[in-house]
Amino acid sequence: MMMRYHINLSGILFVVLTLLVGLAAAQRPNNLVVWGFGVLLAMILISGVVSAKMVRNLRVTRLETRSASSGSPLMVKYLVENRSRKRSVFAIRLQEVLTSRPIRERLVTRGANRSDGWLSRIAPGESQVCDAVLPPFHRGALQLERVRVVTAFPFGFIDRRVDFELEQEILVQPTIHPLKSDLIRSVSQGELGGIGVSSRPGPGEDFFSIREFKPGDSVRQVFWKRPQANDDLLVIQRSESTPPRVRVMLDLSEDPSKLRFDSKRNFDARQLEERAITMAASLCACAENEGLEFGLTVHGFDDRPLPLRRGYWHLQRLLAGLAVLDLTEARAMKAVQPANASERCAVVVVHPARINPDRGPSHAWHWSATRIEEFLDLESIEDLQSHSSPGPDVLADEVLA
Amino acid sequence: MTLRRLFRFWLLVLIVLSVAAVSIATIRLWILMFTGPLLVASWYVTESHRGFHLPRFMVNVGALLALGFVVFSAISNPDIGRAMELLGIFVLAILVLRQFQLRTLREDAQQLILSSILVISATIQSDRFLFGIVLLSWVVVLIYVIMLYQVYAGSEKARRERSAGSPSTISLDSRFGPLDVGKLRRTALMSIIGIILVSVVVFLFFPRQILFRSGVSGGGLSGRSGFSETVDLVSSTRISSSRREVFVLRWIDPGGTVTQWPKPILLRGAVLSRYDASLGRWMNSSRPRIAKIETDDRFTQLGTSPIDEQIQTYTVEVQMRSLASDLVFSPWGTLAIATGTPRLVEIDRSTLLIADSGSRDIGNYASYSLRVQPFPPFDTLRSLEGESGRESRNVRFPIAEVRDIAIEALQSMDVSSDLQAGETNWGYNRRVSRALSEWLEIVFAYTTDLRDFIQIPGEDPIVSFLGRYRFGHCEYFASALTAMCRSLGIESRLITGFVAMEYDEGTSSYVVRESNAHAWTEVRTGPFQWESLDPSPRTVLEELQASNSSWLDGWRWVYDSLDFFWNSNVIGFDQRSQQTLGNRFVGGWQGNVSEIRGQVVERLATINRSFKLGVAGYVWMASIMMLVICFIVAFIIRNRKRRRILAQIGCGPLGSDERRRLSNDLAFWADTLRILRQKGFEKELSETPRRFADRVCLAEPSIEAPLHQLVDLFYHIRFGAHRPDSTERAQVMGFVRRLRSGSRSDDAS
Repeated sequence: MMMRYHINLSGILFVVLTLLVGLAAAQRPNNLVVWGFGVLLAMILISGVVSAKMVRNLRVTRLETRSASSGSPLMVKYLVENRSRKRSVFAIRLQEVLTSRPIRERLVTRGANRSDGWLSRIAPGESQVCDAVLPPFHRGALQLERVRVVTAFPFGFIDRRVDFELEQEILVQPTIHPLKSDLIRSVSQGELGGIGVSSRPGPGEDFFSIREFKPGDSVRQVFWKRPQANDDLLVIQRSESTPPRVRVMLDLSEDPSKLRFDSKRNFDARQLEERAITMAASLCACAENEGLEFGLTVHGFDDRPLPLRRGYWHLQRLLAGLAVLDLTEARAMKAVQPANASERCAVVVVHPARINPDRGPSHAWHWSATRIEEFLDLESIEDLQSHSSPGPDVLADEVLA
Repeated sequence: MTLRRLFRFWLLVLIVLSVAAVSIATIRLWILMFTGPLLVASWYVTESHRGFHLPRFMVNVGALLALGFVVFSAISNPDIGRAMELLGIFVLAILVLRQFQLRTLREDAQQLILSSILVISATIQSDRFLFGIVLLSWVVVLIYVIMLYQVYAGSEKARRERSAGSPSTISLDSRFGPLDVGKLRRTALMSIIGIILVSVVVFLFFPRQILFRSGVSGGGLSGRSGFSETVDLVSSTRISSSRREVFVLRWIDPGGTVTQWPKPILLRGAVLSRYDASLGRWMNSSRPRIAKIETDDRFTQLGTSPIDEQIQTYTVEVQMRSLASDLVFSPWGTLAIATGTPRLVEIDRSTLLIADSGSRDIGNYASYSLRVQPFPPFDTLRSLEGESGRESRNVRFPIAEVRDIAIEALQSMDVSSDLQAGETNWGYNRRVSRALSEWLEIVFAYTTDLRDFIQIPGEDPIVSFLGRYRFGHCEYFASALTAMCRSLGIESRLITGFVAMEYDEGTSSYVVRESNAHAWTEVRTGPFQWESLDPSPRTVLEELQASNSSWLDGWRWVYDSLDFFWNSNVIGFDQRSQQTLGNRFVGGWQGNVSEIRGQVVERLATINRSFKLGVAGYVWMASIMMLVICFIVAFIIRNRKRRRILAQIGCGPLGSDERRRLSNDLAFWADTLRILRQKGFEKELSETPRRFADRVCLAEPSIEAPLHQLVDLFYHIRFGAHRPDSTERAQVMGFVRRLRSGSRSDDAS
């Protein structure tokens, strides 16, 4: 914890006023002016004492932030505790210190709008939670360092600042754009991606096996034909039907310097790869929305393919995998993941630039991230634009333009 | 009430107070009567459910009109003395107009600043008691309003940032309920007390000795009593008509009976014998011959020869009401003085003016008595004035026209302006000056309204008064008489002070008010003799006095006594008072300590004598005293420990029995926490004992068993009303020892 103070503009003006009144008191023998000078001096003194005593007993904890999305404002919550047994704390502002170079490099736009945390009062011994909204960050691991508590209370002359060293890593996931819903469905309706039968019993339609009756089994499931000689009841087990499956293959195996793309569009290789990651994440999110099972394979890195599953946590795991991809690393062709021949699923290969059909199985769909605009759900984007901040969502702006 | 309304309400109170301050400082009640209702109306107009606001352009137009008025006033009457007044009018206009407009946060802050400017401009203009009260109230409200502004503005800014930056995120929660307001008021109250204490310290220790060379603090007397130590005929357009009681006076005849003197009593404050024609101002020119005399409640002679009791000697008793001054207002030729408290009095033998030079008390004198002879003998006067108090040889007046007017005046009165045969110079002085005074009294009109008395460039105001207008107030009358006398070679001087003429039959005393500030002339009529001549028409003066009286005059003494305290101890606080205070503090502290020590020794000796134990008695007393001290120390330590234990338990408000039980039975828990703190485990406030123990045990598995047993016992005692017996207490001590030994072994390892 490091306490500092900063005299703001109103503080400087107040000091000047105090000096002027002091000068007047010295020039003109008027005791009321002398007393007024005393009041002004006392206000400066009391201001420093009150603000220092207030913030001295504060403890701030940053509550865990599960995830953040690139390009969207990041909301961080803080637990602020007033450990004083007698004094209340008034008018405090909590702000994340984003001045270090690693953090500044991760900002999407410097000087973007941010909203600090604010607490009007914390009673003695009380803890309160408040939130601050940080500007959007680029994809990747973001290392937050310090939280600053600022108060100008009681008179607004001195900004009393206390910095709390609270290091925390937040994973900024890739941006997810809404894709056309029929897109992923049309992909998954193919031969390998359609609804199938699993090797597990479940609430499906197809026959799976017969077993002995157990209490709790439905009467409807009883196998009345009695193949056994004894009187034991048997029940029919149905197989579980599996949803359509899709595997997203992200092809980042190509050396960025060798990526080939249309030079008329102002993209560099890094941006193309980011767009590919965004497209892969959007595809996975869309699959999750449509109730599909989905998996992810990233070519060019040593990461193991993520299996086909569905659900919120699976999507989070997958997005986290995409979030930590370090595009500055060297790519190796050996890291191209071979397609699992036994895996029955539709495959979509996302290429950053030109399509390379060798990077996926023969039945795979190959999409280029340069054409992501064709797959976006424009209505949803418009809807999002009207409800969200005017953040620098370059892709969406470009599409709408 | 929401935070916004609360802030706006107190801001309005602050503005009303600042307007009241200006109104009192400039003694213009109409300012408050006019703008006060407007300000109150602004609250109902703008803050009602259907709040109506003036459009911004109308406010701007109003501000421009106010600016135009101020500029026009400044150009039409360019006087630097009116600068603060004009600034105040402009600020007041903007302040009132803005109360009716829709204000932003910044404009609210600007209202605060404008209110401060208004009060600062008023502070420079006034030091009255009522103004002081309003100023203090304004400071108190200002501190609270600034604190409210900090909370209000902060939350508004945070809310705006949140809604502007990211509307999709959760809106900001910045509630501020009645409980919070109560706590803010408490914080404000503590800050106010602190600020006032510090400001009083600054006030007391302000380096007046270095900064104020004049030696007088408090702005002089003229601003607060009507009396002035100089007479300025050029800028003196208004004299005080205030009914404020300055002091009361009792005239006691030689028989000890309080009586009314047949003529108004003239009490001198300043002697002005030089006229600066270029400035139109009378000033003091005589070289002072100061003699210092210590006085007390018995009469002390001011002269060297004894008072001749054969001649009628009167006593004047003066009780101060509102005026706190160094000057002792006295009739001419005062022979002796007595003061309520021992003081050092200075008498200027050249003018016979008396002044207070200080005492061991802070503040000015509150009462004094004088011995006066209306017709003092030659020897008495000589002993008062000294041998060098002789007449001036070269008496003249710098404006020649005055002499012509004086001769014309004497001719019109059929009085010769030449020395008559067999007439002494003193007789000539008396005859001519009395004739001139009578002429002025008959021919000239007395008025305090000098709006038609326009100063003519290049013409002296005395000449204007004598030749052109022939009306004016006492300063013009006295100036004219003095000037005419001096132009004819008669040694005369202008005197300012008070005239006691309002006699209260009920209290048998004269009441002297601010409006009784007066000017008259003294003419030398002997080697040490001066005759007081008042050319102002007495009947007109009395009529004016009577016309100003009201039923409130009977109650003014209540306020005026407070006013005296204020003027004496606050406004009149100067380097002399500072010095007195310092001496009293340092000298008094040492004196008090030695006095107390002496009393204690004496008391101990008395006790010892009563027991007849000799030296052994002192040993016994020392032992008993040691025991008492040990007991007190033990009591304090025990209480502190009890408070610490209860604070660590965090039990909140409990009955005294329950507090005693918990502090006795849970002492081990305080020890436990202390030991764990030494080991680096600090219990969080929000952490339960169980959770804290679990956290500690994860890091220190070796102390798991004793710690969990201590926690179990803590819960039994704290919430299960369990009273541990001696066995359990011993067991607990064992656990605590194990904890401690564990920590030591860890340290050793």
